[in-house]
Amino acid sequence: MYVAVKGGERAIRNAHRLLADKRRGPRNLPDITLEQIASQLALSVDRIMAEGSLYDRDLAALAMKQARGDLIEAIFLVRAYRTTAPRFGFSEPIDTSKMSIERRVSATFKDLPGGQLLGSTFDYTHRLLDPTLQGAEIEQAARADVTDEDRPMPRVTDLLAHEELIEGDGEAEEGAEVGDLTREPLSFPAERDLRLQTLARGDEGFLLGLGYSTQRGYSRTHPFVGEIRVGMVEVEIEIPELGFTVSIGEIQVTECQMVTQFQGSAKAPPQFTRGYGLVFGQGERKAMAMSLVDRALRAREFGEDVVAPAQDEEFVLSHSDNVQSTGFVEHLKLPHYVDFQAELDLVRRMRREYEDRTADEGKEAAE
Amino acid sequence: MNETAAIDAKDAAPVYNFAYLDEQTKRMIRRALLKAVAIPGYQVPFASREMPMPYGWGTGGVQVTASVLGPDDVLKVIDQGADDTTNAVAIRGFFEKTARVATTTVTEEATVIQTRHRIPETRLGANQILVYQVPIPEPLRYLEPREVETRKMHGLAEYGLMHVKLYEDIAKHGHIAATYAYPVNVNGRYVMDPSPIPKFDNPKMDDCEALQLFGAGREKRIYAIPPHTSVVSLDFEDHPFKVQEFSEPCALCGSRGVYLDEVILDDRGGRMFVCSDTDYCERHRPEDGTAPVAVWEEER
Amino acid sequence: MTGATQADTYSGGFRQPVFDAQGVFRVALDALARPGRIMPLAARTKPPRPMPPLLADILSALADQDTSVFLCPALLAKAPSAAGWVRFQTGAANVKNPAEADFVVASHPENLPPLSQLSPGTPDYPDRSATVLVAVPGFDGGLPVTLSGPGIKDKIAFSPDGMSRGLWQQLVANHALYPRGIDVIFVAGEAVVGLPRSTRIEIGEV
Repeated sequence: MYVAVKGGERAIRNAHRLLADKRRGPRNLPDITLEQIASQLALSVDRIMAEGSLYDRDLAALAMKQARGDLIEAIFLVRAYRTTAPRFGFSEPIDTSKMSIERRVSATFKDLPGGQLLGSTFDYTHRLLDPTLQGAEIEQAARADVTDEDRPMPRVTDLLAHEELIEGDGEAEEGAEVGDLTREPLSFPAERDLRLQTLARGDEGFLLGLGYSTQRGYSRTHPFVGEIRVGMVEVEIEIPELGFTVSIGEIQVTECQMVTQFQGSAKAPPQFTRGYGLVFGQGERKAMAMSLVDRALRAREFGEDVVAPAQDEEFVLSHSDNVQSTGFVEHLKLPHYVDFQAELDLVRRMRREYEDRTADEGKEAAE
Repeated sequence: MNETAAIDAKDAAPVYNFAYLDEQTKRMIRRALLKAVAIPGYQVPFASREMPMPYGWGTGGVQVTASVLGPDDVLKVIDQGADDTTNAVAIRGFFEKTARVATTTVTEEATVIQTRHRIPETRLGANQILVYQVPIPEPLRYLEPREVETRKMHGLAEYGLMHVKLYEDIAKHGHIAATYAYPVNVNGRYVMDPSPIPKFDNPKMDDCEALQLFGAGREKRIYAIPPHTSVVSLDFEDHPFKVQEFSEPCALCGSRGVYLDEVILDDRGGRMFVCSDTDYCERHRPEDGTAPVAVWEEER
Repeated sequence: MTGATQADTYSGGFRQPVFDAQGVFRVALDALARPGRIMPLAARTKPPRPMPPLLADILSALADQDTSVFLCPALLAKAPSAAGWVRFQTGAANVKNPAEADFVVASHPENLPPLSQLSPGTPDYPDRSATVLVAVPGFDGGLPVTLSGPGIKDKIAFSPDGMSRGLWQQLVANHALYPRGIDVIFVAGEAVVGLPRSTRIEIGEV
């Protein structure tokens, strides 16, 4: 006699035990420490913080270890933790012009006040696998002393603004509330604050593809990297009881200001416009892609025709979150046999009708 | 009963609130639920949270359940009609851990039933709440992908597009091709997606004694059907709505008029049909255990 | 602020915030899901007198910093510390203009602002509408009305005390806005009755 499959509970328990075993890997190898992950796989940790929207290196490293290095799974772990954390307040806007700079490049000016500072970068490395990294203790990498640059480094966009060649920073009106899509559901059309928040949390790969598409002509904006800067900024919070702001610490961020074209209109003289990208940690690729997509999404504001995917606000914002997309794509592996049974029935019925019909036609043709 | 529950018995920390969600989130969801009940079939936007399970795996239903659940509730969780499918087991375990509520597989004993893809065969009562997990809450989404547009259509009760689509199906296939997530009109006003239940279950929603709540986590929508509310499956005079009929009874309990799963027995076309509602099936088996096993052979 | 009102403000809230809020919400949900039915609800809060405790219970369960509350001037005149109590216990902002309020609270139907002033939501977002919490002297003895619609099997009679014909007419007009409109929860003693916008109201007996 047929007996329905049972024991889901035990199967799940066993699967999770196996997962824990695989995560640990061969026992003759040392267990990887969170400190090692946070320091030696720092860019993965940065991405987890950025898309997990939680600035906490230790938790991001823990999530990475728990997720066996699967970044989207780690981002998901961090998000699920973040959503339960109580909210004590909101920080003041960070001031990136006061950043203590680790890296700063501009593609628009050969030299500029404060100069260019390469910092640590993959740029200009020869992408040749480095055998010296194979054995951990063989070759100690040369120590490099890093001193944060203290000389003033005004933002390139501020320099251009003196001549009014570029639009100003998007100043919010006095008392305007900044939206938060983690507290209010997104509705359309969405303003730039919510768009930027969505992009900052958005999947790097998705935004990279969209940003790339704008370069290939799907909403071309003639972008120039005005500036990319990476460094530490202070986070300040206003304490209502005290009536002034206090610093609660520093965070590392990457900012990209993309300078883009605008022809001007009947009302406004020609002027450069901007796309903006900002992410936690060092994440240049993401910040750049974000700035391209931000600019493309401003089509409505500049009266540009919405013709390309990157300009389509609802399309971009609804599909950029990898926790959402991975959940829904992967849910297809859940049982669907009830729906499938309904479809089977319909297809069988329609095939019978089709066969009856063709049989009838065959008979008629014979007659 | 404590207001907090440790998520892991072994490890006292971290400690989460009763039923996992923080109180502010619950209040936000509860306000949305009250509006949803006041406007049957209308999708109320809510600030859905990331849950410790993936979007698309029941996060909307879980948030609704977590917001209605109290310490005296008895919870049942089903997926595809069954209490023992893996995702149902995982969600039931989640609430056992975070809310320490009593759980059951017996439909009549439950005060809150969370479901994916089915309505139980047992008639629901006035003391029960049925919580549906919803993947895509917008019935018009496959016809018009833009929220801006579909919201307008609902605002104006402009559902012509849906009728055109259904009629095109009839013209092309001789049938309305929707077999699950079959659209309904609620209280004569809103066209609503009943979640991917088979259309076999649609009639159970109409004039139901129980309160029906729908949660779509990824899409951030909550909607509801109060008890005794008219729920009409869309159809046409010349093509009235009809539910799927099975020619055989359940091979295990012999029940007719219930929804059946098709089980493939071998690679020669051998198959059997058994109740999708495992609780109903188990409690309708003949006492002597000699249920007729009908193996359905493909008609040739 | 005097010592006495401070004590008023900081005490009298939910004793078990998680379970109290859940218990009150479930009854409110049931009340709006089954309009016209009298749902028992034991009061859990002790707000400044003479604010009816069930009004304070429902606010404590549902209002917070993301919502705004309008307390009718008659209630504030009799219980001046009620505003501070609601503010402290829920975090909700008190607003002077009922049109801006998510929750409109009145200690008697006569003290309600004209319902047409309250937010009925928009055609695209009918959920962005006010919820009215109003205390009545009792659930019988008033002008009888007959209710029907979602949540009601056939029809149900309802005759809360203190409701004038004019106010019922305003509620009839509210239903005519459907799917826009306000939703009402009546409280009296230790019970509540829901009246969502979806309910059809006929003034007169069944």
